[in-house]
Amino acid sequence: MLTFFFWNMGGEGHKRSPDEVKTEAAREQRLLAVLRNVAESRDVDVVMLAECPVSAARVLEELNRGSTRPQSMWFRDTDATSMCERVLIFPRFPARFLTKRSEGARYTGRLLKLPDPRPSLNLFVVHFGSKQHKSEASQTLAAPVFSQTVRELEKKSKHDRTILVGDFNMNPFEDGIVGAEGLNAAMTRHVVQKESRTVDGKPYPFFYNPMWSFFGDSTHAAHPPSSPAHEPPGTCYYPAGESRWHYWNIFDQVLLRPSLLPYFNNSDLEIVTGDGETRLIDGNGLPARVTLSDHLPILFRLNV
Amino acid sequence: MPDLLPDDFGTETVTPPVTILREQAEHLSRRTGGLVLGRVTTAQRGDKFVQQFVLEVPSLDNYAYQLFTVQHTIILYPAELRHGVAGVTLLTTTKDPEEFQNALRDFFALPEVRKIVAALKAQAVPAGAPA
Repeated sequence: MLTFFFWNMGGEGHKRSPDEVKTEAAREQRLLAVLRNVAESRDVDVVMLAECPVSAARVLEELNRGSTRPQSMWFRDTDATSMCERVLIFPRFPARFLTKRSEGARYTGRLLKLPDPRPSLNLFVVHFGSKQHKSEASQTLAAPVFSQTVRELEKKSKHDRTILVGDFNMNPFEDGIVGAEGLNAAMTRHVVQKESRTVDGKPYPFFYNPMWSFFGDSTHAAHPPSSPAHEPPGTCYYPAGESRWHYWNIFDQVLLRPSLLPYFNNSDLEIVTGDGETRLIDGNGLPARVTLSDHLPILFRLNV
Repeated sequence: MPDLLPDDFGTETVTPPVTILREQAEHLSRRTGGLVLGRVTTAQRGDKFVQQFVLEVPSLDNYAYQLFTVQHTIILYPAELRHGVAGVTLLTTTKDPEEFQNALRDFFALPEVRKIVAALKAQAVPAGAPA
C-alpha cells in the first residue's frame, strides 16, 4: 500500500508589519504541525506540496520530528536538482526510487520504481497556472501539451501506470481536464475501461477522475461540517464572483490511468479536513484560509 | 469535372517557427557537446499548433525539461512564446520571423535559462566517463 498526500499550502502570507510577521509565523507553524500529524497518523509515504511558505529543510525537519519509526522510514529530502520549483516532494524511501524524468516550470514527472514485486509508476505532480493569471482558454490550451508530455514519459517508461496529482487550477468538468485533446479524464470506471476513445480518427487514452464524486452535499445531512466524517464538496471555496459561479471548486485532483484501477479503491481517496487535532475547515465547512490554507489537501492510496 | 484549383499555390516564403526552433535545438545540442540535447515536439489543439522546446539529457536516462512553448495558428505568425522559467508565466507575441528570432535570442540570454542549461550540463555525464 502506498499513501500519497498533496496539499497546496496557500503560499506565503503578508509580512509587512510586525503583527503580520507574527501571524504568518503562527500560521506556518500550524501548517507544519498539521502536515506532520497527517503524515504520521495516516502513514503517508509521499508528501507533495505546492505553494509551501517555508523552506524544504524546515518541512523535512518537521515531518521527521518526534518520529518513532526507524530512520530507514523517515522522510527524505526533496530532490534539490529538480527544475520544478513550484512543487516539493518528500518520499519516505530513498530518493533513488523516485527519479525525475520530465519536468517543466509547473510540473515534475517522476519514475517511482520501488523494489519488486511493486510495479513501477509514473507520477506527475503539478501546479498549473491560476485563473487569476491565466484565462480559461490559456489553461485549456496548455493541457494538450502536458498530455503529450505525459504520453512521452509513458513511452519511455514502457507502461502507462500513470498518476497525475496536484493543483490543476481547473475543475474536473473544464475543457483542459475532460477534453480529448486535454487530459481526457472521465468520471466513471465504466467509461474509462475502454482505455481510449477516438475523436476525428485520432485515439486519445483516458484518465479516470475519481474527484467528481465529491461534488454536491449529499452526505452533509449525515455528516455536517462538525463531523470528523464530513466530506467537503470541493478543495477550495471562493465567495462572490461573476454571474456564473460555482463557489466550491475541485482544483486539487488525482487522475489515474485505467491500468491503475485494479489498485485503487474510491474509499481510499479523501479531501482531508483535519489531522485529529486541528480542523482544516471552519464551522461552515469552508477551508480555514486565514489560519491555514485556502486549499484542502487530498490523500489517496494505491494497493501496490 | 474540370480542375478548379489555381495554376499555382505560390510558395510560402515565411520561415515557420518550428524551423527556427529546430535549428536552435541543433545549435544547443552542438554547443553543449551533446550533453544536453534540444528537441522540438508539436501538439495541436483545434486550429492552434503548440511547439514544445525540450531539453533532454541522454546520460540522465533521457531526463527531459520543457523550457518553453510556442503557439501559433496555421498562418504561422503571430507566434506566441510562452515560458515560466522566471517563476511566472510570461508571454511574448511576435509578428514575423525576425521578431520571433529576436524574442528567442532574448529568452536564451535570460539568466534563468542559462542557469537551467548549465545545471543540466553539470549533471550530465560524458559518454565513457564513470557515472
